[in-house]
Amino acid sequence: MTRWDPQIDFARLLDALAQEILAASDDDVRQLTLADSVVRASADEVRRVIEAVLEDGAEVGDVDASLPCAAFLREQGVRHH
Amino acid sequence: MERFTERSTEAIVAVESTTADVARAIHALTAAELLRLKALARLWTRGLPEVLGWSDVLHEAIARALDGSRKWPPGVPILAFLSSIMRSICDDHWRRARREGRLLARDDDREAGEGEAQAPDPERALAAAQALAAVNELFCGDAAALKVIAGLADGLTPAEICRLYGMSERDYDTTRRRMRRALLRRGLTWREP
Repeated sequence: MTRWDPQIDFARLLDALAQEILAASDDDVRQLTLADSVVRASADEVRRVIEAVLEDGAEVGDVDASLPCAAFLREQGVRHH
Repeated sequence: MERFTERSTEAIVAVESTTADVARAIHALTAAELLRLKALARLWTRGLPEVLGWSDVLHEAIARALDGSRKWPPGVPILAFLSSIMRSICDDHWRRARREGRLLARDDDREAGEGEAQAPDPERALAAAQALAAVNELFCGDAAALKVIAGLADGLTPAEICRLYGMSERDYDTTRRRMRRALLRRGLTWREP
């Protein structure tokens, strides 16, 4: 009898669930019926992470400074909705 | 404005994308896509030690995408690309933790056998079992979702899951839509790991 390996099951499940999130539509997000404040706060949290990457990159040189990319985002700011 | 989301077909071209493309794609993410990105980050960090949060993993993934250490393959949606980087960051974390643990063990016992390399990682196995339990708990009120979860964890295809549990294709699709929403909702409200 083969011993149960939760790592294998979990890895398969994560892959499948990630695909579900990737397949989610804007309509799925709308149907969450979350308060606007929750949606806004969550989106802002992610934007702050993006901004932090750019700030860190500027400090330590991690982000390629040839940098149309970083410059592009810095100049225009991460789009707010 | 040029957009690089999965719904855009014009911007997906068969040449290697540059980091500027990645930056533009990240810049163009809509609020709904940012929510999905957060849900993905939270999903991938399930089962990781508490020291590593979803925002740390997402931060690292975006940094790798922007500094060019991970190339954005043509035709792959930006969210799928970032998701794949987060997945490998989490795998790297476990590999590193295991290597460090093994080095410590070797200091204690230099007689360790060669079979050690194939031995399961008890810490990761425990974390996986706990995370599986948490996912099951998320769907505990939805019997159909639990069947789909069990089938996915066993590596079954949708057709096999339907056959095994006597589900119609329509029931399966409806269940998956419910699961998607539960995952998104939980992705936004799951407590910090």
